[in-house]
Amino acid sequence: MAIITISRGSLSGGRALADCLSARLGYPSVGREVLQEAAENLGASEEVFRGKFETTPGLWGRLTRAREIYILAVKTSLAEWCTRGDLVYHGLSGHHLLKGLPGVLKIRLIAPLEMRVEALLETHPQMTVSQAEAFIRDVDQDRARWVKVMYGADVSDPSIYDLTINLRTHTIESACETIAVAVDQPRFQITDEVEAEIFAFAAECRDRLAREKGV
Amino acid sequence: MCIITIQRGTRSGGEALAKCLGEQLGYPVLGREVLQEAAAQLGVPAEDVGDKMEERPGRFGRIPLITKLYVAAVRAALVENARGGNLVYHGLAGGLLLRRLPGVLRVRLIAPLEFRVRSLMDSHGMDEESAEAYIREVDEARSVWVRNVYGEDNTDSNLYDMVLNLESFSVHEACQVVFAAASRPEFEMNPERLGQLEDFHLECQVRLAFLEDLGTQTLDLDARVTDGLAEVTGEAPLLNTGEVSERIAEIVRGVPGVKEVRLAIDWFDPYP
Repeated sequence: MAIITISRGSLSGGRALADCLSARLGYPSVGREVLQEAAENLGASEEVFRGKFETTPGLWGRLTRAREIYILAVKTSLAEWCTRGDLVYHGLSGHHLLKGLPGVLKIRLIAPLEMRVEALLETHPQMTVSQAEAFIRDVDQDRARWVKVMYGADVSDPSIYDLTINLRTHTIESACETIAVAVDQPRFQITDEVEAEIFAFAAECRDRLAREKGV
Repeated sequence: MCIITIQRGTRSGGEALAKCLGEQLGYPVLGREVLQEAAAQLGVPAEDVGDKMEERPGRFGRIPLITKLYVAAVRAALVENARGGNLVYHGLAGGLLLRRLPGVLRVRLIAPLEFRVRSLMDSHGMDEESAEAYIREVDEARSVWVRNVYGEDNTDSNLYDMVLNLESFSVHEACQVVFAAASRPEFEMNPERLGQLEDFHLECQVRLAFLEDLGTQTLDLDARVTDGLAEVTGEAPLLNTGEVSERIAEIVRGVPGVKEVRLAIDWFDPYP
């Protein structure tokens, strides 16, 4: 019984790992769905929502209320999922959205650029290797900047995660097995106390969002 | 069978994790002993080797010959101990010393500064300020050393197979997690990898022998061994090439286990 968040660069195998963990542990796995629910909650289109949530704000962007409400909506949606029990979340910023919450195992998945380029070329055979590399670097940079601006954190800093796994050597299956052992440790179990904290966290997110929407 | 290296900052629980893994796997555990073996081999005090493995390089970032020699000796001693395919090493620069070897599980352990400061205060009776200053200084010196000797950032997670945060795991819990990873086929020292390990062992012996010999230590030589065949590459001045070639070949042939020597040296004109 636990919540696992997976942070990764694009095309780093996060989705495959989440699927493996979901099958291995019997936990539901969610990613984009959380964003879709948050968008619905605010009555916004997912595209507009993704734009707000994923692109780096400009110089004064950090201060915009709209962006803060969007993030709060995602947090609320993710918190709701957490109240239902076990969960594997492979969407954006899980470790930040659930920061401070007990019973959460925060995983960072890394993979060599060549491996990620290969994965991109498989789905986009019209791309050249250099285009694929440039695309991945751009997305990485954009996300790193976003995390820096929104949370003041360095996305590659291992101290903001519990466990970092490198897919250069681990297969998805091995990463999955190792994480299954990690999440089995007592401190990641959802005890009654932890459950109460999760419910309180979700209620607080809901209330804050309702207040913000009502203003 | 598996070889595990644990890289950690000073006072980050690396030794305790290594001991736990050693007990669970039934493998030998080595740390500073490797450095002592290397020093004994060279006939110098272990402190000298330890200092060179940690001290900041010179002003221009060049690696002095003595540092190259000591690093080569430590690597050779480490690989000698790893030849059986079972080892947990928690000493200096482990993952980097064995970075060309496939199948090694390279673990990095990180721990919050407060945890490390507390550990040092408890064991050495230091005050908080001195303990923190000491840890920062050692971290910085190691980081500079790795950057200069290997051209890498030792805090970069990409250099490791896994990074564990001791803020989230006790040493015992971390031990279970690393044990699970070590049990996976990716890190199994199979016969093919043991063969590569044996070749790597010969490479380390050859490189050390080049640095110990007055005739070759200033040349920029490297060696790759495949199935006992040693290929020597590098650059050497176009002076007494026959004599120098013979000396290089003689050194390589003197390493037990090398079956054949091939020289692929670029001879350059020192007075163009």
